[in-house]
Amino acid sequence: MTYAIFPSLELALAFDASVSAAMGWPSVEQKTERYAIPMKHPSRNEWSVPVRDYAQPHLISGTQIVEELTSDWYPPERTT
Amino acid sequence: MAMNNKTLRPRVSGFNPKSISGLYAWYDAADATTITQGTGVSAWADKSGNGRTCSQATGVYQPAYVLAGQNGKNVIDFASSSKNMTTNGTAWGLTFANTMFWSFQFPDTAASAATYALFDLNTNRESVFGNATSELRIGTGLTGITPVSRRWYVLSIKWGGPFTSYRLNQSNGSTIDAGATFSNGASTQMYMGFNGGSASIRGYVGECIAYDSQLSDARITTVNNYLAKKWGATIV
Repeated sequence: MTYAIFPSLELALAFDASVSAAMGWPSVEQKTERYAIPMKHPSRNEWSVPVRDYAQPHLISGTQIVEELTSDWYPPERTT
Repeated sequence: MAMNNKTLRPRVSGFNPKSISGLYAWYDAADATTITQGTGVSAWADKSGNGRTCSQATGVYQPAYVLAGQNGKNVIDFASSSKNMTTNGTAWGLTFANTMFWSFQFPDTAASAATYALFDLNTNRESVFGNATSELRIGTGLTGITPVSRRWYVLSIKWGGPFTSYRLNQSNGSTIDAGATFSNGASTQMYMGFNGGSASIRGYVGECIAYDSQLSDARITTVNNYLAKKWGATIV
């Protein structure tokens, strides 16, 4: 999993909003509300958002990108 | 006579899961009319008529829809660890006595973590999943089976309490007692391809069928044969 690391929740939310807008989300037709929910990275105490190939590179320029092959994402509604 | 690698042959042609009473949910990736796509699959409609649609409203977690992924049929690809769908917002109220069928590709254990989860009903309940050595587990009961990486399987589970029986590609497994109970706790959701923690299936899912009662062995055979022929599962 590739993550973009952000120094604040606000910046992570802004990234989510940018990609969501580029994708046309929220979309009733596509049944999709948003791109991603920012999370505290499992092994870092920093806000992160997974990166997919459809997140245009210019939207994440200036952020730190990390590749985590073994860490798994924990959705905020499920904490264990 | 050797029985290896023989394709299962159904005795019933044109079988429809609705023909058995008590159909609770039916997800069929081969039926493109049940699929809604954002970037990946955002909704997988329930063909049972009960409205238990599986969905994923967050784009980054939507699994991919793969055309002709198995035996010429379209499949859902839960390729990476975060891909999952749930019956979010729709009651999943099966009691312990029920029967479930899954047609799926066992994950590539060489390329990913050995642990995997096919589905879950609540945090850490891990209804069907593999342990650290990829051994198939049902509930917390061990089956003694380590499926072959990237092979297509048809799994049927007749959930009971405390005795649960299962078949993998129509072959009877041992009856499991300790831990293999169908436990959904307070959950009203079914999590597909994920256990809410560190395990996900990381493979293809073709079809899932659930009935609200323990089916007879003959009916389980019928459904298994239907799935095996449709998805090209083989006796191992």
